[in-house]
Amino acid sequence: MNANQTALADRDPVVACNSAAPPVFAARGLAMRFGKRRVLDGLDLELVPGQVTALLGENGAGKSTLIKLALGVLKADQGSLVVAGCCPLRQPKLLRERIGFVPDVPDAYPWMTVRDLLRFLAPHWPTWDARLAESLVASLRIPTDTPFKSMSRGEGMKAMLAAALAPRPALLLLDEPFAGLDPLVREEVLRSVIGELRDGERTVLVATHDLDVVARIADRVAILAHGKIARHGTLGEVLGEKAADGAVVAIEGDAALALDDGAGIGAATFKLRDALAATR
Amino acid sequence: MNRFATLIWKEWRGERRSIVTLALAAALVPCLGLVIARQLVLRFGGGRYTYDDSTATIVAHLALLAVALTVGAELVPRESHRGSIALLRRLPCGLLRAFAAKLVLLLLAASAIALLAWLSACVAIGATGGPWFPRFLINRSFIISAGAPSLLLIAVLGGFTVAASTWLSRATLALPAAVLALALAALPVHVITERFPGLLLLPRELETLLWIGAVAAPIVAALSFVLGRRHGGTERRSLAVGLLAMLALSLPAYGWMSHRIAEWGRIDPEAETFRFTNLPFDDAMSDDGRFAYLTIHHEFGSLLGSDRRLQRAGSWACDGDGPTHPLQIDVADGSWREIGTAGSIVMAPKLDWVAMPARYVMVAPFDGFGCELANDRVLLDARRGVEVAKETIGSGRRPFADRSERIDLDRAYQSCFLPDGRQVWLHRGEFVTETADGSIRVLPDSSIGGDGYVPALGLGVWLPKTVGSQSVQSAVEIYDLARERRYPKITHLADLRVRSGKWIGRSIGPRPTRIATAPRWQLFDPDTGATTPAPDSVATDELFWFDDDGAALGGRNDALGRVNELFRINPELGTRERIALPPWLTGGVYKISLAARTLAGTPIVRVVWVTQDQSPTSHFARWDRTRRELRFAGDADTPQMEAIGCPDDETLLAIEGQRRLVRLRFGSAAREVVFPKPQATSEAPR
Repeated sequence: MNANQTALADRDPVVACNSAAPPVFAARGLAMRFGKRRVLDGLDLELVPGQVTALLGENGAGKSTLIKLALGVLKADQGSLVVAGCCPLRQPKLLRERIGFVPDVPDAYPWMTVRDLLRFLAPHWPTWDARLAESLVASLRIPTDTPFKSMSRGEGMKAMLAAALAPRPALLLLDEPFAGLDPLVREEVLRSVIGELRDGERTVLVATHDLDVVARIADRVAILAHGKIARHGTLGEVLGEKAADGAVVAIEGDAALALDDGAGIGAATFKLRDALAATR
Repeated sequence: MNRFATLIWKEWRGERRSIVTLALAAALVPCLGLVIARQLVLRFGGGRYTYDDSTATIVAHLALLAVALTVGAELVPRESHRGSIALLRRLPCGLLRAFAAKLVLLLLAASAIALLAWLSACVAIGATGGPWFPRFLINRSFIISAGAPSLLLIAVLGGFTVAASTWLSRATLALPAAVLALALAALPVHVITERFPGLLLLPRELETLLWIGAVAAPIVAALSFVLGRRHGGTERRSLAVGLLAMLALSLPAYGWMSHRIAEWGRIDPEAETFRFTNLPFDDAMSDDGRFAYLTIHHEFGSLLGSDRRLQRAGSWACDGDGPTHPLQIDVADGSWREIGTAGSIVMAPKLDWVAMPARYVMVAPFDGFGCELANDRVLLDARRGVEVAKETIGSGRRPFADRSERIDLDRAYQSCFLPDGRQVWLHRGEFVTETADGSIRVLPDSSIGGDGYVPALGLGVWLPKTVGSQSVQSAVEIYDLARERRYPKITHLADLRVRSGKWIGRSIGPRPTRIATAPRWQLFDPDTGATTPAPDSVATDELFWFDDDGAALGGRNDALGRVNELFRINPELGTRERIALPPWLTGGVYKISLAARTLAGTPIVRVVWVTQDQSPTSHFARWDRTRRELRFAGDADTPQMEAIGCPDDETLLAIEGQRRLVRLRFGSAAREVVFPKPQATSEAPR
C-alpha cells in the first residue's frame, strides 16, 4: 500500500480491502470509542508475517478491542483494517475462516465436550484439519469426554487453542490466554502454546500484559498506550529505543504498563529486559 | 453434518432438557388432567360432562404457547448468560444462520409437543366416554383450526416473546416485554378506533393483522438478534433494533389508518359514495327558505371489502359506512359549509316526521371517545348559520332556560295546527300554544313526563298516564290538543284519530279475536264516551289523512286495496267532494300522509300510489283546503323524494335519491338541482 492508498484508506476502508497484496494484518488510523471513552485513537499497526507479535498494554488499553476488531465482532469508528487479506466488515465469513482465535476464557457451551466442540466447529471451516485437531487434543492431553463445565480452566484454554489451530488459520489471535491462570496451569498452557507456535510459519498476535509470556513467545512487541501503538519492533528494538515522540515505556511489574510522558528514563526499570534475560 | 445441521444439533443439545420435560408433560398432563377433572365434575358437580373436539385443540394450543414461553424465551438469554454468544459471533456462518437454527428447533419442538398434547387429550376424551382418537385422526377439526385466530394469536404472542427475549437478559421478562411492545404498537390503532369508531377493525381485518403479526414476529426477532448483537451489540441495541423493526413493520398499517382518517373527514359531494342520511330528523330548512341543513355521510371501504362497520358507532353518529357530516347548504347557489365535526349531525326532531321551516336548528356534536353524540347541543340561527346558544342534555338536566330561541326551535318542529289556525307545540315537556297577544300559554295537564317526543294522533297525542306528579310509562292516555284535556285510552277502536268534533276510529271485533268482518268507521265523543257509526256513505271508505278541519282525504278501496277516485270526506256528515288527480296518476292511491307544512301551516302531503306495473311510488302535493285541490310537484317521471321543507307556498325542497337536493314547484314538472353543483364552493367548518 503506497502513501496515497494509505491516505485514502484512512478515509475509506474499502480502499484497503481492495489493495493488490493485502497484508496479514494492517491497521491504519483505527479509532474506537465506547461511550465517551476513546479506546483506540488513530492506531496504526502492521504485523510481520510468520512472526509472533505480542500486544502489550495495561488493562483497558484496548488490546482486546483491537483483537475483536480484527475478528470483525466489533466495528471501528474510523480507520481501515485488513486482516488475513480481508476486510472484517465486508468479508466477515472469509475472514473468520482464515483466523484462529483463543479467548481469555473458554466460551464453549458448558455441556460441550471437546469432541462436541470440534464436531460443532468442523463444518464451519473449510480448511478444518480433523487429523490435526485430534493430534492437538492428544498432544495437549485434553480430556475428550469431559464437558467444559467440568474442565479446569487450563484444560479449557488448551481445548480452545486446539480448536483455533485445527483449521490451520493464516492468523492466530490470542486474547490474554494466560490471564487468570494459576502459575502451574499457566506454565502448562504456555508450554502448549509455545509448542504449537514453534513451526514459525504462522502469524500470531497475542494480547497480554504478562512480560514473561512476551519474553518467551514473542518475536516482536507492540506497545499499546493511549489508543495508539507507542512502540513496535523486535524485542531488542523496543527495549533499546525511545518512542518517536519522546515518550518512554516504563514497565512496572508484570501486570502494569504505563506510558510516561516525563523526561528521561535512564533509571526506569525494564523488567521486560530482566524477564528476557531470565528466559534466554 | 453440514453447518446448519450442527447449529440445530447444538440448539437441541442445549435445550433438550427443557424440551424433553415439556414433551413428557404434554404426554401426561392433558390425559391425566382431563380424566381427573371429569371425575371431579361428575362427583361434585353432579352433571354429565363430555369433552369434544375443541378440548383437544385448546390443549394443543396451550402446549404451543407453553413451548413458546419457555423454550422460545430461553433461546437467546441463555446464550448471553453462558457467554457463548461470543462463540456464535466468531462462527463464519454469521448470526443469522445461528438464529434460524434456533427458530427451526423451536418450531420442531413446538409442533411435536403440541401434537403430543393433542394426542394425549384425544386419549383422555376417548377414555371419558367421548369418541376414540381414530375418529379424531380423520376429523379435520385440528387441521381447520390451524388458521384459527387463537392459533394466530399464539403465533404472534410466542413470536414476539422470542423477539423480546433478545432484548433482555432475563427470559422471565420476555412475555411481559412482548405484551408491552405489542400494546405500544397497537396503541395508535386503539386510539384511532376510539376516536373514529367507523375505523374499528373488522374481524377479517383483525385476522389479517394477526397474520401480519405472526409473520412479522420472527422477522423482528431475527433483526433484533442479528443486527442487535453483531459488532459487540448488547441487549440494549437489540431492543432499539427490535422496536425500530416493529415501527417499520407497523408503518404501512399506520399509513393505511392515516389515509382512512383523512377519508373520515373528507366531504366530496361528487363522490360516488356520497349520501344524505336517511333519517327523517337529520334535516331542516331555515324559515326564510335560504338554507337547508342536512346530514350527509360517505362510505369508505374496509381493507378487505365493503362490510358495514357500525359495531360501536351509534346509528346517528355513523350512518352507513362513513361518518356523518352536518352541512349548511345555500339553496340559492348550492354552496355549502360544514357546521360541525365529522360524526356530528343536524338534529331536528319532528312530531310525526313532518318537515317545518325552522328559525333555529340544532347540531349534535360527535363525542368520539364516547363513540356517541355528545351531551352538548349547539343551537344555530338557521337564517345565518351561526351559533346562538349551547345546551347540555342528559343526567336529568333540562335543556336551556325558557329562552325564546328554544321556544322557536321547538315550535318549528311541531306541525300541529288547531282548526282556528293556532299552532300547538311541545316545549320543555309540555304542550304550549301562542295566544292572541303573542304570549305563550301552557296547555293544562299536558306534561309528557320527560323531554322526549310523543306519537301524534291527528289533533291529539299519546301521553304517559300521570299519577300525581309522576308519570307511569307503562300506561297511556290520550291528550286532545283542541279540548286541552286528557282522556282514557280507547280500546275498542283501531286507527284512532283525534279530530275537531268527534274522534274517529275503526270498529274492531269482539274479544278474543277482535277481527271485524267489515271494519267500519265509528265516531267517538270523548266527553260522553258514546260511540256512533259513521254514515253508511263513508263508513267503509279508506280515510287516509285528516285535515286540521276534521275532514279526511280518502275514497273507496278497490279489490286491490287502492283508491282510484279521491274525495274530501266529512265523516260526521257523510258528505264527499271529489278531488281531481293528475292524469298520469293512473294506478290508484295507496296512502296519503302529511309530509311538511309551509311556514303558514299549509299542509304538504305525500301521496303514495301504484304505477301500472304495480310498483309503489310517491309524490308530494300541496293541499289547498279552500279550493279543494291537490297541486302536485313533479310528474310521472319524477322519482321518489324526501321533503326537506317549503320555502314558500309554491316551492318544495326535497332530496332525490339520497344524492341531490332539488327544488320543485307545485303544479309543475320542472325540478332544479340545488346541490351538489359543480361550481359550488365550500368552506371549512367554523
